Amino acid sequence: MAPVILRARRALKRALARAPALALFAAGITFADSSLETTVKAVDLCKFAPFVDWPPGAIGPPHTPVVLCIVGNDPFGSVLDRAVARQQVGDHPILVRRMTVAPPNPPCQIMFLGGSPTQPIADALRLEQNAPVLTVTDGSNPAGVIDFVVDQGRVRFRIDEAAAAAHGLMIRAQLLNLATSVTPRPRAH
Amino acid sequence: MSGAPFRIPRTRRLMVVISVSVLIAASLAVAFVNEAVHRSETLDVVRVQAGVLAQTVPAALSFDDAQSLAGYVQAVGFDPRVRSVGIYDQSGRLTASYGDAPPSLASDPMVGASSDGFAALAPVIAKGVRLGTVYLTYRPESIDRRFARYFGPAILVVMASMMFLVMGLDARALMGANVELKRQMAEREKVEAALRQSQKMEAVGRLTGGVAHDFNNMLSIVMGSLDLLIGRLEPDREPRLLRLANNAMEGARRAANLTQRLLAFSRRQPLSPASADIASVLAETADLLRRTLGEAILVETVAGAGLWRARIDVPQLESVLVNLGINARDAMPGGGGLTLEASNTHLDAVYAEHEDDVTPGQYVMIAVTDTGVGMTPEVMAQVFEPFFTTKPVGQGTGLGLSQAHGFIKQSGGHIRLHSEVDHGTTVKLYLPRSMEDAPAHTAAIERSADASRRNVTILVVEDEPGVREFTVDALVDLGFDVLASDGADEALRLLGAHPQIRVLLTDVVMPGVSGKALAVEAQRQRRDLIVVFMTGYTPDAIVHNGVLDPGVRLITKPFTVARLGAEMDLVLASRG
Repeated sequence: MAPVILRARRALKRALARAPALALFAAGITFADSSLETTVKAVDLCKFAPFVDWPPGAIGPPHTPVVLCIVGNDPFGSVLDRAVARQQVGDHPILVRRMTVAPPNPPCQIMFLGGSPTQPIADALRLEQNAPVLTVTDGSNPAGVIDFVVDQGRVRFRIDEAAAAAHGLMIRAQLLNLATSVTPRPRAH
Repeated sequence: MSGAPFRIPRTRRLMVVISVSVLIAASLAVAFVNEAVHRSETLDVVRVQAGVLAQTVPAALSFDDAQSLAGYVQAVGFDPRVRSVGIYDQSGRLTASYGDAPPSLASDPMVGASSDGFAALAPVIAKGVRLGTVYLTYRPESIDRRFARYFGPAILVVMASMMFLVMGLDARALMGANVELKRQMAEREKVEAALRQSQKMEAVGRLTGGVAHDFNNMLSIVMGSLDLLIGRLEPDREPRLLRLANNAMEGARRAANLTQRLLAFSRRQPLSPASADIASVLAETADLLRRTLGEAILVETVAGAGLWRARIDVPQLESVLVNLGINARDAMPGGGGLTLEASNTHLDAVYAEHEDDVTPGQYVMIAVTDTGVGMTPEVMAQVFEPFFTTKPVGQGTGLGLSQAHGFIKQSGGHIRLHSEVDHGTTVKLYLPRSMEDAPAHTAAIERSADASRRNVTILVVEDEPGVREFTVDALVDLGFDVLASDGADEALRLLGAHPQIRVLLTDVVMPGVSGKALAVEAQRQRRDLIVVFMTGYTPDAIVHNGVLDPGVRLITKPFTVARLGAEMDLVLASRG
């Protein structure tokens, strides 16, 4: 547990330095393991973008936002909004949009699938499987391109390169190196 | 014995110095440039390393993966040159480090190359997002490594310099050896020339001596017979015959004179050296020369005080000096000066080594100097050879200087010529010093010759019949009783049979037993026997180095009746 706490504290300190409002929240989650884990996941969710290459045209011209959709159940709430405020992908700010179901041709580049009674994660994934969207799930099966896992008390993630390829995405090696496991893309291409 | 110290040409020395200097300067420059290149390359490596690390860590830094960061940093740290690695996040906080504690980014850490080492900063950027900073430092290159890097080239430079120096020294040694070799060759050539000259003179001398000896024997017969003939011719009754006989005698005398000079040249004339006062010899000779040479020649003598005595045959010396004077006069047709100069001289071993046949020691030196036309080196090389003359045919015999040479050499002296064309000639005679005082003048024994000759029997031993007959006739004419023999055996028999024989007059060179051996045997039998040798020739049997053994009487062929008589009177008087 200790690494998670330490990491969370570091993240909190960083947050405190820049966002006093977050400090209040952070103080609140220090004592709850699940909220700490969620906070870490929220922060990580905002950090994937620099290490993912979308197909041309998937991301708009400079200064247009990169949209992060929270589909279905939203475990992050305002924590995510705070984290997103500090993140940027090059010239692009990150914008959070929440929606109940994943639509075809989604208006977002990153999609967290929290699952919903009306649209199970598997359905959403199937629907979006060829869309230029980085799908993220949290310990789900089937999983998105990136799937959060907790490994030895630390929040980490698995990466499915094959799925990424289907989405037309390229995951940078720097990120792959941090993954607990990588499902390689099909060899014959 | 080394000659003049030789010098390496300045250009050659300069070349060696310049080559070595250029070599060292060039290698220093190369080392300097290499060092600069090496530093900039090392710095590039540091920058690249930092860049690579910055490219590797964005995700780990972004996701705050301390474990991965530590792994990356460790991997970089495997390079032993790395002193420290620091990875800072967006806010400048150190998130991972290796080695020496990296400085805070706020303190604006050193970047670039310095004596402290090498340092580089690299931003950690992903998709244009600045995620943090990598700070990497290298240790300065260790002395060992730097030394290892320069050791090879330094060794090459040192070796090359050494080679230049060694080549320079070799060239120097070679030149030295060359100079020495040339000097030795020149010296050897000189010595060989002197040896050749000496051998030539020796050969000519032997030939001349041999001819002169035989000739002398014949002249003895001619002159003796003429002497007796003239004694028996009455001037009143046969004036014409007497005149013819006198003419013949004059011719024979001149021939005898010539053979005498040949013998002198061949160093075979019997000499009677004695301790002589050279100053008085010079004075007397100068007087004679003044009268002989005429008023156009100014004759001067210079004799230093304390002049040593010399051991020399004075009449022969006078003859040589007169000859030199005549040569000088001939060299000064328009008149001039002739200086006879005497001084004490020491010829040392070094001088003796460079001259042929010179014994180091003390000498009385006589220099005969004229102000005449001088001689060319070619002439000088030949003047001592017999019959070499520069005078017109008929005016000179070509024997003057060769006679002088033979005489001086036979006397244990040394003769040197110095001449310059148009300036004059100096002949230097070195006569061996005599440590004896002036010989006591034995009062001439004045006695009636006839009285002393009465009842004196002389045994004549001579293998040459002509000489024997003449000698016997002459002695009989002089009033002696005479017995004659043609050889030693007969002579010894006669000696045994005639105890009244007081004088043995014997030839030296005879077939069979020599005159010397005969004399020894005869004196063993008859201790009071007086022995007188006759010779035209002085082999070692009775003469050592041209000097008579003490107590040996010698009469030189050809001789006249009067000379024979005088000699006999002298030996008889000295024995009472």
